[in-house]
Amino acid sequence: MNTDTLPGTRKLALVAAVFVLAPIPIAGSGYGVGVLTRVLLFALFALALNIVFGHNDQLFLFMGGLGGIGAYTTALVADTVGVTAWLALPVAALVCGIIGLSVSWISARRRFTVILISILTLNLQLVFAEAFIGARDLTGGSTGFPYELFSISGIAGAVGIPTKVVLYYVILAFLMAAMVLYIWLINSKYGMAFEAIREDEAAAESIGIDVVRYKTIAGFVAGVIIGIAGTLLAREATYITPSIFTFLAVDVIALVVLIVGGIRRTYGPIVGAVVVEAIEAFLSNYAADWRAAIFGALLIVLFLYFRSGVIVTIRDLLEAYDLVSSGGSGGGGTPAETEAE
Amino acid sequence: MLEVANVSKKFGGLVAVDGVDFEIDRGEIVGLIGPNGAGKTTLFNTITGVLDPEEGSEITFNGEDLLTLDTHEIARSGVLRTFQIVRVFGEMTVLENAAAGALFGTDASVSQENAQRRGREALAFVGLEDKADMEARNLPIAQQKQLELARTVASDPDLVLLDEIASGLTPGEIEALSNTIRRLRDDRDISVFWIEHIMDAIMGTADRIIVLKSGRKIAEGTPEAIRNNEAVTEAYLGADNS
Repeated sequence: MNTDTLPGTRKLALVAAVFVLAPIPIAGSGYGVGVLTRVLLFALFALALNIVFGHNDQLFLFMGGLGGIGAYTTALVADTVGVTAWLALPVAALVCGIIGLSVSWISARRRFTVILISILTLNLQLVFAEAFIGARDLTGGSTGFPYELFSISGIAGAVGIPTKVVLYYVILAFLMAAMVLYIWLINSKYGMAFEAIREDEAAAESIGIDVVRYKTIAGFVAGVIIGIAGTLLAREATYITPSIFTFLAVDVIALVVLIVGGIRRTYGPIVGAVVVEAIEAFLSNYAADWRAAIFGALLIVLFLYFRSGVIVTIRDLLEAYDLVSSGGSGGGGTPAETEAE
Repeated sequence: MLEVANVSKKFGGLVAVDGVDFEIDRGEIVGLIGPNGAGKTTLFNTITGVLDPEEGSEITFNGEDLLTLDTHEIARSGVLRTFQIVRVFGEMTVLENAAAGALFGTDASVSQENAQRRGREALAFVGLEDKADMEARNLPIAQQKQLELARTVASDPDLVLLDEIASGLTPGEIEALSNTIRRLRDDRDISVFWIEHIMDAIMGTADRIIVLKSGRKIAEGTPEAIRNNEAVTEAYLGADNS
């Protein structure tokens, strides 16, 4: 384990630089920037899932619903209190954090298995989805309302670049902040406790680890990130409707992104989001009618052959052909080796 | 130091531990023996808060009521254990396992560097220092048990409960283990409560031995006295014949 204050700073800076430059080659293409933005958003959702599920075995299947709570709360707080969305967002994130915390606390106290937590959260997902439609006075029902908070167009006008590009950089800033938080968390005492709990809860308790406390912290952190990601997802769409926050639209994609990228890998969420969104974009351009079917088939292939994540599989391939020296993982601060067969 | 009074534990109709009383004082190595199913591990589990004993049971440690504490709080108050079926953190390195013990086993806040240093010390104590960077799951089971011991030592406990830590060892290794356990007390001021089936190991090391049979304490005394105790011989021979 690295003893630097933040291991892998250079690598993170490099990744950030790539994303900073990414919109330049496709300047002017609103579609291209949209795809890049979705990469960031789903990397953010998958990062939250990596903390709470990857490192903590708590499978949150209400990321869509929780993200929706974040998005609606931001809008409603900004509207009713009359403050800018920048001030409303922390309130919404806190609300989502508290929901995540409560779910984790109840599950940990009652010693729910990963299956029970996923059933509990999937039920909450359905409840939230119905509530978004039902609470017409607040949410505008299934028709929703325009969502152009954060006065980004003002900044865009001043700097002279499209609003979508400004939004992209805003989301990038959030993702990088979340990455810094993640790397710090996993290399801290918390990361050690998460690892111990994930491997053997009884042994973790026997050496003095408060299992309920650490699981609850993970639930809170994930809830905050999901709330922010949901708000940004609605902002990217510029219009909020309950259909943005369904199980299929958010949870399934985020879970696939995490598995494809590599669970418990520091850069798994980002790599997975790039791969999944690239496939999505390619298919909707060249095979729109068959998009869903081909996407599903590709996922089966990915799950069969890239189960430990594309990072690991590709590195193993490169090593097998002597293209890189072995052992130089550096991919993360965690012993993230997935069980290979 | 540890005071156990009238502790019972039932599973449905089965009485696993039945009104057991004993004390363990500072600087003592106490053995706990008995035929299979005597309730030894169940007794450990009630002391460490994994199982809640029946009404009327009393367990205190340095005057503190352990029955009101959770497992992790009991660990932090200085009572650490190892497991009969080994439970190391397999995907962590050997050093990380020991460091985790130092990091979480006390109420005091311990820095990661400090935890690593204490982890290394604990590994040296049980003789695993040259395995520090191995993944724990790659150790042989007998050494994983030593690692569990190192993990408890790293947190600087007052009392360790060892559950069949000598099983799977060669006679030479048992000798080394017995030495380690004596050094726990002599060098580290740690008391030991030790379940063991390997009589050579426990008879030569323990100051005092408690014998359980069918959940009841049937004898308590020095190894010499236990060896010559008729009830104990009968319990073991009876168990062999059944």
